[in-house]
This record gives sequence, structure tokens and C-alpha cells, in this order.
Amino acid sequence: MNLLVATDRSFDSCLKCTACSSSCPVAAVLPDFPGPKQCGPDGERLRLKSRDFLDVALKYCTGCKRCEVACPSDVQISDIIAQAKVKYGEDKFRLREFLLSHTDLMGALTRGSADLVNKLTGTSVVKFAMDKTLGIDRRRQFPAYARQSFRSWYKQVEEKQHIYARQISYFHGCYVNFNAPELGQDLVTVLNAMDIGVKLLAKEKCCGVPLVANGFHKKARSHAEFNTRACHTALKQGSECIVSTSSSCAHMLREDYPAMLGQSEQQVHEHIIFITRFLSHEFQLGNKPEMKPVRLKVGYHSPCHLIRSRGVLHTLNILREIPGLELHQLDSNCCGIAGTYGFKKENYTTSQEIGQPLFDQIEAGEFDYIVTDCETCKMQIEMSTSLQVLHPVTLLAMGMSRGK
Amino acid sequence: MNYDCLVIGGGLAGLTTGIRCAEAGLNVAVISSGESALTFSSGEIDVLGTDLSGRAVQNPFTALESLVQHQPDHPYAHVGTGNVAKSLDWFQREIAEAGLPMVTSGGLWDNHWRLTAAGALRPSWLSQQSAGALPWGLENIQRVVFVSFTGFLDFMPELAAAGLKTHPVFQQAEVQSLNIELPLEHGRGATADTMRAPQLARAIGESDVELICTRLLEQVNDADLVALPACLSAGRKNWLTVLRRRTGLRLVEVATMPPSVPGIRMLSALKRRLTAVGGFMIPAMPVITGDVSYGHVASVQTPDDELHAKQYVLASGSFFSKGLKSHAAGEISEPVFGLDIDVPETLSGQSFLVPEGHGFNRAGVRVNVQLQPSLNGTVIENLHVAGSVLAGYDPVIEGSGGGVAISTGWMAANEVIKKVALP
Repeated sequence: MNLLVATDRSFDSCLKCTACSSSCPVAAVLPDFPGPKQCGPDGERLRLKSRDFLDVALKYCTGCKRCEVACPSDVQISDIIAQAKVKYGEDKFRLREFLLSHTDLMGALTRGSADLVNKLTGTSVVKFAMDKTLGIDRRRQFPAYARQSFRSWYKQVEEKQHIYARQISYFHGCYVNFNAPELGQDLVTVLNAMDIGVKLLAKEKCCGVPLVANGFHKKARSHAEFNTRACHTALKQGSECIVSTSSSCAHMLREDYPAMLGQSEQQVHEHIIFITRFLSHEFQLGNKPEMKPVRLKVGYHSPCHLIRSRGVLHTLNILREIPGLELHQLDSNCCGIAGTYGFKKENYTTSQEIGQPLFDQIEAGEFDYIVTDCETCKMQIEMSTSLQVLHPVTLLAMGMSRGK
Repeated sequence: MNYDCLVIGGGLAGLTTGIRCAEAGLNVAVISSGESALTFSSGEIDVLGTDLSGRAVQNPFTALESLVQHQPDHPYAHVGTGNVAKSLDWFQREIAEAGLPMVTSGGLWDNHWRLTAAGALRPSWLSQQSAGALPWGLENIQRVVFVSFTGFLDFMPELAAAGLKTHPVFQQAEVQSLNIELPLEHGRGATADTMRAPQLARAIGESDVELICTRLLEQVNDADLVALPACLSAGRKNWLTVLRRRTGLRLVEVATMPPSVPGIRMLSALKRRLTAVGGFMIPAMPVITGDVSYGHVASVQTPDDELHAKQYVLASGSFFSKGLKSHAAGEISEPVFGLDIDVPETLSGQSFLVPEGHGFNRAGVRVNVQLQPSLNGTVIENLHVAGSVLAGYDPVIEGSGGGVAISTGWMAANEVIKKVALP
């Protein structure tokens, strides 16, 4: 996403076929949203003449990128809309957007007081107050913070990682570090079982996905520079690659950083890989942890950003390698949360309506678990259905522990 | 991890192959890129609408016999007329299993008519219930009314009425148009002129349906046929069924300008069927090249990866879907494998609408009777080709697009199943 460089002229390639409009989850539920074609390539033509043509409806776009997947002419529709929000939108500081988007800062602030914070954000009084003062919908469940961060847990296993001949680095992201350290632990278990040591970057910052979505572009760029330098150092120190367990972080690091920072660091960005793609390649070469049958029926939900970064096949490939697993691919429907989008009061209903077909299919499927690669999809599905959601890596680790 | 079959292309042909392979117990993944052309389509299946002399065809399965005799390189000739019928019969059962029952007219093997948004009648074989197949004789249709909703741009009732009026059968008939202004209960203040059909479908509520019902009963209650834009059967409720019941009128839905509600519905049903029978649907994965040596595909490449399977099916579509590529010098190529292709001498006619069709529509991949293509003259044994990337037919002029996609997709699957079963 080249937000700070030359204007994207890909809109000139639009041939008005409406394939994007057919696939837009927002247009499907909001009759007053004109859809990606009009908000993106059509609107950009007008906005270039005058910023008065800025349509307020742009704010409804979730940035899911399904329009870009549908487009036969490679128009960067979602990027055009995201850029327009920055270029022509109001440049005003908003506390809610700041709080929702600075996930690493929020995580750091709650360190040592996770139990208290979790209790507070779960109470109706606090939810009511956040709804009224900030516009964060009170019906939304907040992800719980973990007592011990992943980085702090990792210190116990750091020494042991050196015994492995092969080393890779893990970009854990804010969610694993502050909310789901157990996923990071599962990853270490799985990779160690495949004779691969796991290192962390010396330091990492939020990948920038929520920053971009909420208008903090300069900050996102500085995070991109920081993380790229950290990845560069890791590669120089002998890591084969950098893996991420978050489909959105991975998409940002691999696909969006090069556009933000130019092609000079291409060598680094090419070595950042979403975990299932890495595992799928290893499995194919015969490097696979030993697993015993898991005897579970699971539904797999493909996150929008994983689709856009061409990752669905890899996740399905590794899930197919888990013995005994009854795997069903769910229809490709957006869950509706779109990162921080669904937390905002004005988007809550839209978000839930977008997700409804997915929730209905999940409830009807008699699954033991739902599997998905994205942390916000997980939050949305767990809040909106009766099922628990697992990461593919967690499912692999479950297969292994049964093998012990 | 290894697949028995990778299908390149997630349109009608590719999904047909995927479903049949998955049902036979094969590990199959359908790899698609972009949006299928089905979302632009009428959501109907045409088998053969026009014969070689340009006349409308009542029984497509009989007419096929003469077509394949005259055109031995037609995809239907490779499949064989008996198999065409078998494959379509199979498809009708599959799509019903997927929750979208489709109907033929009175006689099981006869065509019926479907209305287009321009008011033309086209022969079709299998229709969604919302489209309401019109019988071949068009008996007892003396008064026709095209209805739309004020402001909606993707279906013009005046245009449709004028179009139908030019049809020989309807020159004496009364053909009218009617616009109804709707409050759009769930429109959140937006008006119909900013909406495409799927959004209009979503915006319509109970109060709109009541209004439509009242206006129809007041103004057109003696009509023999009332045609509406296809946006009533896909909303919060199947309002079309409600309206049919309340008015007692013969109501049919007509596919609008894209995005097309019935087309999208058919695509969703087929994808759902694929995953229900154990196949996998891989979106957003363009296949860039294939590695072929000594008549064997070793792998195919996506922008990031190399994928392997025992068998491959190419169902990548025509020009718009990038299954075929046209070059400035008038050359045409198949971009993934660079397969041998057939190109007619004349690529285009003198005007936009020519009765014999344009040559480029007949261009495509040349195959043998097992639907195997060749590369520089060498047959590729583990690759089969299906759908509109094939040479030798003109889906526009023949009205055969759906039938060719399904029958070749079905046959490609049969070939794959046979080969995978071999020790």
C-alpha cells in the first residue's frame, strides 16, 4: 500500500465489470454503501478533480480486500479507498482510534495488571462508559490479556533453541505477546519437534495493520522501518526466515511493507512467511512432527487477508496432514469484524450482519472446533457463536500432545 | 498433501470437475483467481439454442446429433451426445443437492424460453425456479408487463417491453411497462438509483412487498405474464414466492445487468456443493505457468509456490477470465502452458452483431477426444481441458456455453478418475 508515495493509477485499468461489487461483504448488507467500484476507481477519478467529491460512505469500507481478489484487471481497489481516506479525509486526532490501534502500547500498559484489566473491560459499567465516551460498542467482547507475556515466557526456552541446527525467527505480534502466549508456545513446540530452533527478533513493534486502518500512517511507516531492520538483523544472524502466526501481520510485513518502504528491502520482506506456508513446504519435504489421530470434526474459516495473500491452500494442506481430523472448508464469507472496524459503535450492526451467514453455517455444522488463522476472526466467531476457535498451529500441537 | 487432481479455474466447468472428482473420493482442489464469470450470467443453463441454420432449437439433444456430424471438432463431438445428456442429468441432481433446484419445461429434454433484460427470448434448457421457464409454444400469453422500481438503473422495463414487441409472437400482444416507486424499508435512506441488484434485494422489506402487491393487483391483475428484475428472490425472505402467492399472477424474474443475483446464487451453490462433498476451494491463487516435459505436467507455479498433483484440469475460461490471451498482432495464446490452439482465419465480423458470430469466440485450446491438449504437437497425458478455454464452438451464437462447460467439466473428471484409479 503506497500511502505516502505517488498516486496509484491502477484505477485507469477498471473496465466497470462490477466483479468487485459482487464480492463486497459490506455492499451485501448496507444498501447505502455504493460498493468498491464506485468508492474506489470511479470515485478516485472525481476526487482527483476536487476533494469535494469525497463520499462519506468510504468509511464503511472494512479493507477486507475481497474486491482486489475479484478484480480481473488488478485494480488496487482497497488501497485506493484506504489512500483516499487519508488524502482527503479529516486530519483530526481521535482518542478511540488511538486506543484501538496502538495494540502494542495497550499491551505494555496492562503488563502486571492483566487480571484487573480483564475484569474491568468485562464489566457492564466499563463497557457502558467506553460505549458512551469513546464509541466502542458495549456489546463487543474484549480479548483478555495474559498474565505473562509471550516474550517473558520465551526466556525459559531460549537457551534450548541453540541445540537445533536450523534456526528461524518468529514475529509473534501484539496478540500472541499480550493476549495469546499459548499460541506462541504451541509454535515453539511444533517447530522444535521438527528440529528447528525458534528465535525472537531483538525487539518488535506492532506490524501496523491497526495503525493504517485508523489513520496513523506516519507511525505505521516508522514501525515498518523498525521491524524491517529487526528482520534484517535476524536474517544476518543466521535465521532462515521470519515466520508469523497472524495472517494479517504476515500480509502487512510481506505484501504491504515493500509498497510503503520501496523495493530496497525486498530481500528482507521476501523472507517473511506466514507460518502455514512454511509448514506446508516442510511437510512436503518430509519434515513433519509425529502426530496421533485427533478424532475431531472441525470447520475451517479462511480469513480475508489470508485469501488476499494466497495462503488458503497452505493452511488446508497442513490441516489435511493431521491424522484423524475431519476437515470441512466453510464457505468463503467474511466474519465481519475486520480488525478494529467491528469494535466501533457505528459499525457493530454491519459487522454482525456481514458475519451472519458464517455464524449460521458454523452453528449448523456440528463441529467440535472452528479453525482459523486470524486473531480477530477468532474473537468475532467466539463472541458470535457457541464454538471455540483454534489456530492451525494449536491443532498441530494438540495432535502431537496426544502422541506423547 | 499431494492432490489427485488440481483444477485450474473456479467457474462452471472447473466446479463441475471438482465436484465430480470429490464425489469419486479423489483429493481435489479447485484453484481460482478473480471472480467467476457466473456472477455476470443469467444463472440458467443453455445446452443448444440455435441450430446450424440459425433456427431456435426445441430439442437440443436431438439437434446436437446434426451439429457434431457437421463439426467434428466441436467440444460436444468429443464428449459424445449421449454423455452430454448424462452429464446434464447429473448436474441437475447436484445443483438440487446444493439447495438450488432447477427446472426444465414440460418435456424433460426440451428447451423452454427465458426472457432477457433487453426483452429478447432465448432458448434455455435448465432454469432457476425464480426465472419461471416459459413453455416452447408460448401459449396464452397475450398481455405482458415488465415491472421495475423507480430509479433502478440495471433493468429498464420500457426497453424490455419494446424489445419483446419486436418478437413475431408478441407483435399483436399487449406489452407494457410499469415503474413502482418503493420506500425501500431497509435502504437506510439510499435510493434505488445507487443500488445494484443484490443491494436492492437486501433493501426490500415487507412494506415494499405490500406496495408491489397492491400495485400489481390494481394495475396489471389481468396480465398473463409479469416480469420483474431478479432481486426479489434473494432478499431477507424469498419475496417472489410471497408475491406469487398473494397476487396469483405468473411472475418471473429476469437477470439484470451484472452483478446478477441468479448468477451469484448458482456460483455459491456450486462452491458449497464442492466443499460439502470433500473438495477444496482455493481462492485468489493465479496459476502463472506449468512445467511440462515429455507430455507430462510435473507442476504448476503460482506467484509464490510450486504445486503438484497427479492430474490437472485446465478450466481457466475465455478471454475475460484470462484463460486465453489476445496479442496486438492478432495472435491468440493460452498463457499458462502455452498449449497448441486453434484460431479461425477471420477473427471478427464486419459489424458488432453478425449472425454467424465472431471468429475469436471459436478460438481456443485444441484437444483430442479425451479432452487432452498438446504442446508443440505432443499430447499431454495428465492434463485435460474443459469449458470456454476450448476451441471449436461459439457459445454466443449457439447458446451452448453452460452445456459445454458442464459436459466437458464432467468428462474431464471422468478421465481423471479413470487415471487415478490405475495402479
